[in-house]
Amino acid sequence: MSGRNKTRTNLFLDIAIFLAFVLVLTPRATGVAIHEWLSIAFAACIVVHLLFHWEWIIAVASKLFTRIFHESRLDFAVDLLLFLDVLLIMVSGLAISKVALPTLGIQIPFSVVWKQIHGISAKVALVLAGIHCGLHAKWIGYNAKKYLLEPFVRLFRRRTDGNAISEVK
Amino acid sequence: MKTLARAACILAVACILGFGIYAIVPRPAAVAPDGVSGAAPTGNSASANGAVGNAERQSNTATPPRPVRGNGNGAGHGNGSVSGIVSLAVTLAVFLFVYVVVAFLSAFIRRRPKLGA
Repeated sequence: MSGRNKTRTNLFLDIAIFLAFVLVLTPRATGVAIHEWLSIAFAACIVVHLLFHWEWIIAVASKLFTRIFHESRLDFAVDLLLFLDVLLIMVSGLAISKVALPTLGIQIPFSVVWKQIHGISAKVALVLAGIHCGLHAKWIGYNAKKYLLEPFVRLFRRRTDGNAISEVK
Repeated sequence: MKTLARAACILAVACILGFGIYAIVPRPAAVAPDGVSGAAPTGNSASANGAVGNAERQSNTATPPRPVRGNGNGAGHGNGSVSGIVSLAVTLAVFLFVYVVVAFLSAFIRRRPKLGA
């Protein structure tokens, strides 16, 4: 995959993850069944997201203790916390699952502790995801403009150009 | 092949940590079929029969469950006093607030002239 295509795929995958994340965080809006199945799909997307950034993860992890003050270190710390938090959400979510696991024939006794952990870790994940995206705001802004905004503008320009040509004729 | 190995590595880490988390959190107490906590009666022994008796007595005297206010969409989370759209809007607002603050701080720190420059 070329660099341009990879960046575009990355951007669209990230947008899909973001939309899924927001929907997953609002089970009142979606209902429990969609909440649970979408969460499982979200986890799969997270694995793909990590695969896309594998080289970066390995590069930063290998130099983690060589340079104390580096911007990547903060990114890595936030990403690690977010990964652990999402893992906690998934485990606690599966432990209190009402639809997904019973559908697969797995019954886990309900626990209030898991429900509390699920709620708190979801709120923490929202803040961590905001920090994670905020730290990459420059990349998001640049590529959103390049791959989302500019194609629309170009399309509009082409249409106006076409109208102008037909008017001249 | 390399991608599959990496994916397996991520899943393995997730599974190990996930089972670790699951093992750390205490298990819930066994729940009797009528919803009363305690040892579930399984046998015909005297203690098991006693447990049934206790469970039945408690279930008869227990306060009736409070009616749950719901919004009728079957979501089953919370009491339904906040509608789904409001919940979605609040989530987005919190996310955007954190995003803007962090993006601003990040840009500000990057632009700050370094000492001695």
